[in-house]
Amino acid sequence: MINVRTGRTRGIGLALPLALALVASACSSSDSGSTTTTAGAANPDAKPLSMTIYTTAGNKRRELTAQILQSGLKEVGIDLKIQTEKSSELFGKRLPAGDFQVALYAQVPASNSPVLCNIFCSENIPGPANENSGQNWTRTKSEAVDKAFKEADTEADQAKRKVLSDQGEKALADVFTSLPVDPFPDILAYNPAKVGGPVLHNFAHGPWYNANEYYVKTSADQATPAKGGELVFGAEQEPDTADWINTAAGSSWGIYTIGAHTMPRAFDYLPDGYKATELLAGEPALTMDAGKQTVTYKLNPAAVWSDGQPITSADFQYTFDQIKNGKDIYDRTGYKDIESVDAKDPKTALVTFATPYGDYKDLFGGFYGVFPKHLLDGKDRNAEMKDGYKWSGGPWVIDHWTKESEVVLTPNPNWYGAKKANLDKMTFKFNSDTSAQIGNFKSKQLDMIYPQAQPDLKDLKTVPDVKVDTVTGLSYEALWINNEKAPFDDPKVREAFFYAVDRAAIVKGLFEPIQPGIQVINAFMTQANKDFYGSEPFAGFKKDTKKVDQLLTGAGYRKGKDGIYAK
Amino acid sequence: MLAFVIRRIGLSIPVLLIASIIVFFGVSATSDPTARLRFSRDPGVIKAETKRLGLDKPVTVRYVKWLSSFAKGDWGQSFVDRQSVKTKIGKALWITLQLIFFGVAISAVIAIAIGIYSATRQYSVGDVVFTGASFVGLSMPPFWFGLIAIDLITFKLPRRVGWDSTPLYSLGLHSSGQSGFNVDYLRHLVLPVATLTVQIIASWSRYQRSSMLDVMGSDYIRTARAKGLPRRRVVLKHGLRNALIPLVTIMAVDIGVLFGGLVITEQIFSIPGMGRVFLRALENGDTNVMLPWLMVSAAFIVAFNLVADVLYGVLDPRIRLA
Repeated sequence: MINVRTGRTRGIGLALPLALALVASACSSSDSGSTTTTAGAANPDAKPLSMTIYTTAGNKRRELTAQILQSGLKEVGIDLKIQTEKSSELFGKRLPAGDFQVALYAQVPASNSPVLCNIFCSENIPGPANENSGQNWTRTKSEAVDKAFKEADTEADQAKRKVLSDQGEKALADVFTSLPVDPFPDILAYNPAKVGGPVLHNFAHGPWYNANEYYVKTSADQATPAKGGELVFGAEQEPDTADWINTAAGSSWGIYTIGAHTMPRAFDYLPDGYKATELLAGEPALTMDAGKQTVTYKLNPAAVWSDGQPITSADFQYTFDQIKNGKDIYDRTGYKDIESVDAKDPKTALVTFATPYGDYKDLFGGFYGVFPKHLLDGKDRNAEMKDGYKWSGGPWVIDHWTKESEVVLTPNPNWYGAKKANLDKMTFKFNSDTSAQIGNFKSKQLDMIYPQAQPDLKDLKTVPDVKVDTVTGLSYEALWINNEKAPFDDPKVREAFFYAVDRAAIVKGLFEPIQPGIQVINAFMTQANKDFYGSEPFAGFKKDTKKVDQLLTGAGYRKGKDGIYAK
Repeated sequence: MLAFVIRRIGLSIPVLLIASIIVFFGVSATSDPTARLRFSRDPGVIKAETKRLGLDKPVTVRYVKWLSSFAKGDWGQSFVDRQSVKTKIGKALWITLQLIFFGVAISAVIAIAIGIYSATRQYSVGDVVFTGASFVGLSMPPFWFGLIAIDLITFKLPRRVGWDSTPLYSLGLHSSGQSGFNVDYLRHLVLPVATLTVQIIASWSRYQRSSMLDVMGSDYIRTARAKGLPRRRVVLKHGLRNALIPLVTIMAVDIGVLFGGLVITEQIFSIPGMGRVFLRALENGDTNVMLPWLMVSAAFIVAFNLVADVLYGVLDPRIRLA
């Protein structure tokens, strides 16, 4: 499942757009060594190679990225204007309508499956066939891309999926569709003198997915877990609903703060890949019979809801039915490929797919989980769940959720897992202003924060009693190019653009102080995706002004006296 | 007086209507409440949501429908979290009211005191200090002051003096599990109220000084002094009452604006008031929340403008409203 981190407004949320005017440079020579003659200056009708990059407003990281890019492109001879917009305008209108040349935004995969067909297969170009809701906003068209990614989506064998994914990525590089740039550091900052327990990164369920192992330290060197106490965590966003399958859902922070702790799920997605949870008695059996894929889930006999009722195959049936046939469902992907869920016995669920589905481990888990039939059947599920629920199938239950302020969780007394919660309660305080959140953390009003990667977070490293733990996460940012919009409708211009961008400078400028040694990504996923990251088909695209000149000259462009190419 | 009030209220209705039209059409043209669903892999979901929210109908039809429902007291649900808009705004308004109450009360007392002091000791060292400080205060944007206050008061100060915890909080209006008016509430309230009041005190104290100087130079004050009245009585009874007239009107207008204008303070201190409701609705193109928010905020502005006019008459009996 892929979500896009929409760059929700940070700071005061009213950051001014950074649209900068074209600067007429007095440079009389080029560092490319090309002939700086004719077309631009001599031909009065020649149009400069100028483009606008759109990104979300109020995000310092993106503004800095765009500025580094603008400066680098100007050196090469390409003019770039920067335009920021609020996310609902950018993602709701401009990108789907194709009203852009290049955009800068992030992809935030919530599972290890890159599902790249979604954003690159030609059938997903917005149009009547997909009711204008396709996500191939770059208008990428390539038979090789379509073939590889479609096959990857229906292939259940992980090794074959990786090969197919690699093939698709290579095909993307061949058509110069868009350019992956920087992986995001996954940053955890906490007070090591107070927060005890294995503090781990989890790119799908959030860093608190194992909060049942956390404990309050009474001394900095305490290594033995203690019972009791409270920890307070900062949450950048508040979920709009706790009905995780509803159209109001889809927020990562909903999972980080509530869903991951209360919804039973078949698999955890860990940095090493999927791992069956304690809901299951073991890894489910996958069989292929006459082209039909079947997954048999054996449930843990001890698995119960917080009211003591067993978690059964009927709950799997109910979950499937709600997602496939319910109203206002956020995303039916995978579930709509299921033909049936049979309850062979209360602790065995047999899931049969009508068509093969590769990312089956994301089902009955991921952002959704398993829903309790005995508590919800025959009722309005959304009304029962949207403001929080009193039941749980995870290690924690919701104590209270005060909207716009905090959600507090307490241990589930009937949690069947091996590790019971140590804390008496954990509190998530909603605090959407990053700068203020850092201030609240430094003053120990918050014990731990999980901030979006921003360059100024490096300052936290110098604060006493603070540990900043950083690894490369699954999220990444790319330069998304509209392949149908001039000048990028010409593949040579796209290729020249690839060689004009200094990706290493962007990554270094943004994240080197936070995560020394961080590398450019050379695929539409990050190095953290160990199941898929492989052949690095975009590795060859490094800044090369001679190649830029060669390609643009071949496309009919000449440098003008202002140093900008024109045609 | 009553006719004046009724006429002013009547005149405000078309103003509110025009404002609602501008906001509705502006927000509708630039935002798409289904934007978040663009990342769902389900192609049918956007169409279904568009239909559910009525976004498939012409914008004029949507506006008329909203207006008729609003007029009947049905404020609808948020596009985003499906909460009742009336409940959402009601809760936010109560929280913003608390900030405004404390902010205005403290600002008024301090600003008036500074104004009186500066006017009665014109060009003294104190007056110069207050004048300089007010210009500093006016030039400090709340987002900057708020962040600096958090850093200095909740982080640097406790470290410097060796306290284990911060004396004041900067996160919401209560600690977890706390509610009501208590010490915990006050410890949360100080920083946001300080952030809110800095510019207000700076501004109001300048008005008060100027107004007081005018009054203190008038003939009747000279007469009062000549009659041998004590200085305190001359200043507070004869001078202050008249000098308050312009300030009170400015205060009333400013208070009205504050109902919708605490976006920055509320955002920095995570206070779920009207400003945060506005910001979230704007981000999500949630016209169902934005329009009632606008109506409530505008109603307060109109009401407090009216209060300013009425107070003018009350404070100065020579002024008659008609």
